[in-house]
Amino acid sequence: MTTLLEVQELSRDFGGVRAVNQVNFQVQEGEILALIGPNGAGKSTVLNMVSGVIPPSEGEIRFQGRPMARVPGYEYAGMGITRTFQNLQTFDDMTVLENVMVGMHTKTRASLFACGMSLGSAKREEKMMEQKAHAWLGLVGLASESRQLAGSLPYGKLRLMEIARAMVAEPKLLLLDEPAAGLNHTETAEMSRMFCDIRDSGTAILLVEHDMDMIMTIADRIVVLDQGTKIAEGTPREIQENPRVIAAYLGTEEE
Amino acid sequence: MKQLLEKWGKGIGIYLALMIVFPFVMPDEYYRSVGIIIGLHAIVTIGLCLLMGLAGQISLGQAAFWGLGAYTSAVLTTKYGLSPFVGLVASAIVPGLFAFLLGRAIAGLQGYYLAMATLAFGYIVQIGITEWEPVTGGASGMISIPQVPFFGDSELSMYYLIWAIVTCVLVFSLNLMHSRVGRAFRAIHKSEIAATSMGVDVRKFKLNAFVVSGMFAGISGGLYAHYMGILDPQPFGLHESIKFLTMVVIGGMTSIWGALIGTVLIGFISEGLILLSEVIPGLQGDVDTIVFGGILVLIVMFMPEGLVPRIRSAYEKAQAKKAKETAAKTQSGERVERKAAT
Amino acid sequence: MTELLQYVANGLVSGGIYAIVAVGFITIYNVSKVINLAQGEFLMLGGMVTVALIGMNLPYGLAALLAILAVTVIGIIMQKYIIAYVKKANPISLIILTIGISTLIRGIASFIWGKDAFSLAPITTNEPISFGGVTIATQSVWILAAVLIVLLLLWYLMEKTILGKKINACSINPMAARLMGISPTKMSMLAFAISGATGAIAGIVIAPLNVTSYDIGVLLGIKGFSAAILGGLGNPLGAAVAAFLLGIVESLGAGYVSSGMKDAIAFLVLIGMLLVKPSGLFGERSVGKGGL
Repeated sequence: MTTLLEVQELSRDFGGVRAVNQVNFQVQEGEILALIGPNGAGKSTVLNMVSGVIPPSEGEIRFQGRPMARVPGYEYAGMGITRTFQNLQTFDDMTVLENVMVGMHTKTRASLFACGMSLGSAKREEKMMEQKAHAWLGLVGLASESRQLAGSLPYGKLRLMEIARAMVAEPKLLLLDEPAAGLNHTETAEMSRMFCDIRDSGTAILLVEHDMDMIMTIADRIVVLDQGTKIAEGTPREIQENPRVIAAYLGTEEE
Repeated sequence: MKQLLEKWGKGIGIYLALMIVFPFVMPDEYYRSVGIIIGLHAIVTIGLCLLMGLAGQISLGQAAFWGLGAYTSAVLTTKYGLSPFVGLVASAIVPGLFAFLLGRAIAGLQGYYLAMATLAFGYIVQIGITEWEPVTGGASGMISIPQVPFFGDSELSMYYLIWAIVTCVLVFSLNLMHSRVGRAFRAIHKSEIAATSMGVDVRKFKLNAFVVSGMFAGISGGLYAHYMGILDPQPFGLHESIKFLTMVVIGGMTSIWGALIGTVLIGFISEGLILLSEVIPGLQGDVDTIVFGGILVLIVMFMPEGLVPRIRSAYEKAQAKKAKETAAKTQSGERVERKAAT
Repeated sequence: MTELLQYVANGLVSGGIYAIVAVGFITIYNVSKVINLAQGEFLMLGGMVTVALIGMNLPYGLAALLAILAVTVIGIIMQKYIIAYVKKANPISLIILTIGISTLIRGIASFIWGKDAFSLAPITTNEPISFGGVTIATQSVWILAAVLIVLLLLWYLMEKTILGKKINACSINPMAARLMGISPTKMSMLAFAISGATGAIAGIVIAPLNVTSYDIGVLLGIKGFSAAILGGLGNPLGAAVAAFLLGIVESLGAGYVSSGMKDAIAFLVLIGMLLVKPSGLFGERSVGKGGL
């Protein structure tokens, strides 16, 4: 197995507060790595750094061996890293289909002029985008909503749409920030199955999630953060039996 | 063209019919000239709509690009004797270049900073035109700018020339809106973070939007110069920029059709005000300024999305009601299909 | 040398006016996060209303006082009935809104008073004062005095009074302020009132030096805003210093380069400033967990 993503001594400060403290982990090709921890453990901050939204204060992120420090945020998608957002970032005034088509931005080349003149090349790309977007909307179960405005969709469906939007770019690594938040049991189960399918098709997943059922069923390995520091790493079984993890969780469960 | 008719069938049909028929419904030369001016404004506002409504970048200096286009073509044809066609091409390129330089510099700015920077740019251009007297004629302006030759100087042929260009600009923009570039613009408008994470180079696309809107304004300016035959710096200031802004805002910033309809609407309101001031002798000052200011305030307060999107959503609601009943029957069938697909 | 000093003196006077405008911008921005693009119109109204009232045979002092009061009320009305109404609007809408208000006020002014320029008698005398070759109008001394008094009073209000502390609390954390029983809406209204009053004062004191007309507000507004950015938006002291610098640079430019380019210089400074400071420093974009 080859290493896809390598995170070394990663730290991040927010105005003097250390949100993430010297975290190390790796994501291998074709695995689901879950990042868990109590509220405020710094999971989303790690995800934001890995996806290039915020720069690390210290430490290094390597993707396929390449250091990402100087890579601008918009190149991540083209290199094979796409993501979903915890507080949905959907384009409400576009249709569901159009939202997903934005996800294919890096797969297309048509220039502004070609698009405006509706040249053959632009039209071919447009058709290709539409087909692929439709295919993914079918896979996540939103085929019948494709012409609706995203703003009119309920929360759960928007999460699915974000996943489709991230997947049409055919990423090597998919970053998911609490994809199951606000979903019911059946929906979560369906989503879990989908993530396994995605992994089996060759896309690795880095998953931040609170739903323990989901994590324990689908994660290949788990990294546990508490107050910005990594406290454990291992298979779901190892994590479940880890006393430090239990302590960290029991401490917050009472809140 | 066939595809176009499918996509915006009714809209384009009605538009073409109205546009072609207008000079014959209003056969007066005066109304044809009003139609020409509205067309010239529409070219600017469609560009501004791409910039503001789609890409979410405000510009309070659009009249400056308009003026740059007008003076570029006027100077090239009048001082250097070049053909108006060369002048018109240059009138797209020069403002485009200015937009590129300005956009490159300020593409990282947002909101108020962008508004103020474009406002300042507008002033600098107007001052520059006024001060560069040997070339631009300064405050007193330029005269005897040649007409666009093969259309002669009939108002009617000019009307059709201008509106043919409006149609091209309109179709270009509609195509653009529903393409990867247009979607990238709209994505930036809604969330720069999400757009970036999908691989959209936000700065580059903002810059593109700036350049396109600057070029549209420039083309319109060049045509304006040749149509009017005379030029002075006065119409290229803040007042005109705000007028363009009002046109786009009233029609609905996010809609290209909205920009066009807003332009026509404001064009007629302006004409109405001129008529009114002839009837009522006490009217002084810029009555249109009051109207534009008032429209801007009222629109933001009570109808921020603008006319066209408001009407469209009302129409869609009515359609959805109708569709609901029929959908209820077919939905059960569809569900089975979806299951089979996954 | 005398020439240089003369330009600097002129620059200080216009810089003082920009300082008042800049501080007015910041007062409102700090409390409500709105940039009031109609700020310059407050100055125009102050001057024009005074001229109009004097035309109705009111004594100078009373006319000025009433004008200040009127503009203050306009500021309050603006906040209460327009700005507060669209609280949740996005920045573009707010820009369009305040631009619209400014356009509306300007239009109404031109409707009432026409497009002619009016002059206002100086507060004391027309006789210029001369120090070692540098000549300044007596009115300029009044302007500088008024500017300093206004700035000092504002500083005192913000730093030394309970009211100022309340206003500061609203700008730092509106939610916490509300929990403490301070109404951000009221404080925002107060900010508009203060900006209106100080703007009107500035408008009245400069009117005698230049002429005043319906459209002087735009330029003064932009220059004040330039100073506000130059000094760091949110920092009144920095803005005041920047305003004086801007006034001096402009005056030197007008003197040594070209008087027609005077306004362009201020705008070039603005654009230059916007370029040098990367957008990240402006702090509008929130990062971290809350930002997503």
